Amino acid sequence: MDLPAPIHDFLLVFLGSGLILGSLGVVLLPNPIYSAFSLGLVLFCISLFYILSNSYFVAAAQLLIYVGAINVLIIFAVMFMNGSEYYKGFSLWTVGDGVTSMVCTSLFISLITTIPDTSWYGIIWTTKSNQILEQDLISNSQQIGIHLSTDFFLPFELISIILLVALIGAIVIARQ
Amino acid sequence: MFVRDQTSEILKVFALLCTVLVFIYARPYLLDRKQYAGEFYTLMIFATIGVMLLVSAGNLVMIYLGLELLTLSSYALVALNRDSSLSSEAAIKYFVLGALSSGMLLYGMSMVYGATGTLDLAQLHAAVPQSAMPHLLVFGLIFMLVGIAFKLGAAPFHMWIPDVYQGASTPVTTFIASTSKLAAFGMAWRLLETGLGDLSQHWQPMLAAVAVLSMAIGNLVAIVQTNLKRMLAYSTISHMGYLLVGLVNAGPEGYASAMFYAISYALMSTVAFGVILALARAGFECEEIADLKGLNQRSPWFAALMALAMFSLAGVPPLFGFYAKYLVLQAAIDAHMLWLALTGAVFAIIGLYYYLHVVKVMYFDKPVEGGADQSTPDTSLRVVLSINALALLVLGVYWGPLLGWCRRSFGLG
Repeated sequence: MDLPAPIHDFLLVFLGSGLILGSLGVVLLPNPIYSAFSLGLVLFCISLFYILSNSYFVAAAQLLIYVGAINVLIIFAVMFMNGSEYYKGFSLWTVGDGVTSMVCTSLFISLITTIPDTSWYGIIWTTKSNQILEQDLISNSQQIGIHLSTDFFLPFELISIILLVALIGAIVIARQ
Repeated sequence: MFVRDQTSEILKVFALLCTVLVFIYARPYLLDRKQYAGEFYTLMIFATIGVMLLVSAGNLVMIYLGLELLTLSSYALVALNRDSSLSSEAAIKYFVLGALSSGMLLYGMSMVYGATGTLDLAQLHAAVPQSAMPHLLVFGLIFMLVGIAFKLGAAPFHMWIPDVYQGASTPVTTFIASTSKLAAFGMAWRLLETGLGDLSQHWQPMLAAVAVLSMAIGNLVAIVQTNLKRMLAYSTISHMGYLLVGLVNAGPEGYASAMFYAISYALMSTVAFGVILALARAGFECEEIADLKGLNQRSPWFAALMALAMFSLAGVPPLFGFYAKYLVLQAAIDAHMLWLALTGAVFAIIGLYYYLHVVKVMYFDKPVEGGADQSTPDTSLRVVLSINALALLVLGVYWGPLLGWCRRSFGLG
């Protein structure tokens, strides 16, 4: 986005800290409803990140799909559970935690070695849009629509078949 | 997007053949249990469409979508038998682990896209050596390998295989064991060679480690199994280790041997599970090894077919499985990985035990009440199963045309 650098950096840090705090909340809060709402905060911050990166369509899709559908379904499922039973049998450190911390530490180390090595300013595809129809000023949604109808038409049709299969599977499993 | 070459044609022919075999073997089983519904066939056909699109993929998006079509249909197929809690548990485990691994595959694909700027596999092959971000490429490669190893059922991503093989109803297990593995090989080849061929010095050692782990875990844990389907599941894990040994070669010889191995494994597993389906009847699943006690005295022809399948899976000459193993170990030696070939040979010998145990139970134990008896009277199943099993014998001696077809598709004489 075309923001002055200090405001851009401030927004990055602000959204990033919201993201981290939200994800810590998902994992650490004892009440599952609080965790589900923290997840909503995380997904909302991701959506604002997309706006900062000039991907307006993905930001709107993230809000609609992730926050509006997926998070709502998660809260719906969480409400079926009895939250007060969760703290019984809580152990502080298990073998599984040791393995998980090793995996997460190695992932963290590989990420912090990879990120400085990457030339992020070389990745300019979301800021300088593809020039279709010789016009520079096509919006994000129009470009996605054009690509879906030309380059990615086969995947588009395939996605509709996948949806059909998911529907058939869900009905077969869940019907009386 | 959609690539049509000889490799995809071979894999599609055998995927369709295996699906036809599953349909023929499944019919009496489903009729006995009142599960003879249209959804079974519909979901399986959609899964086969996913297999065919996956092996013909020319773009990372198509690989992911073909894989998702196959796996979503498989989740529903595993859960189809709603009355069995074992099926539902297996389906949930498959679904959770499968969703996680699809997410990892997609994450790796996004990293690779970020490093090269293209999704098309042919352009990826050209762009990989010129990429300015090799670390990002290797990072993405690792996550894609997680997705590939999960779909193949290779250790340490193998945890879904025993539960799904045991929990799903036997026709669905046959489908997952045969057609799904052909698709997994196709996906592995497309991603690792057609797409990221230039990174082979990175993925060769990783695949070698995964292969050794698979062969070890598969062969060792299968020894203690008492459930026949679970034992075949762990043997699947070891067979996928051998398939990865062929891929580690990273040359056309290795790919041809790995494809030959995938085809031989698909045909062998249809025989093994087909005999289980033939011996099952209403109220009797024929799942335990103890159910096969004394099968030779009650139904000698089917005991012989099962023995053919077991010997072929073990890799005993002159059956089909032997030459496939030989080719794969030869490919490892050609890649200057003698240690890998020796490990494979040692674990093949260890693996002989559990296959021969089944043969011993069939031929040398007394039959019990409530065990496997006469096979199903369905003639088409008996004829086709016999042809399928005899093919293991014929192809074990006359493997030339099939091997030549596999090698020609990779450009070898």
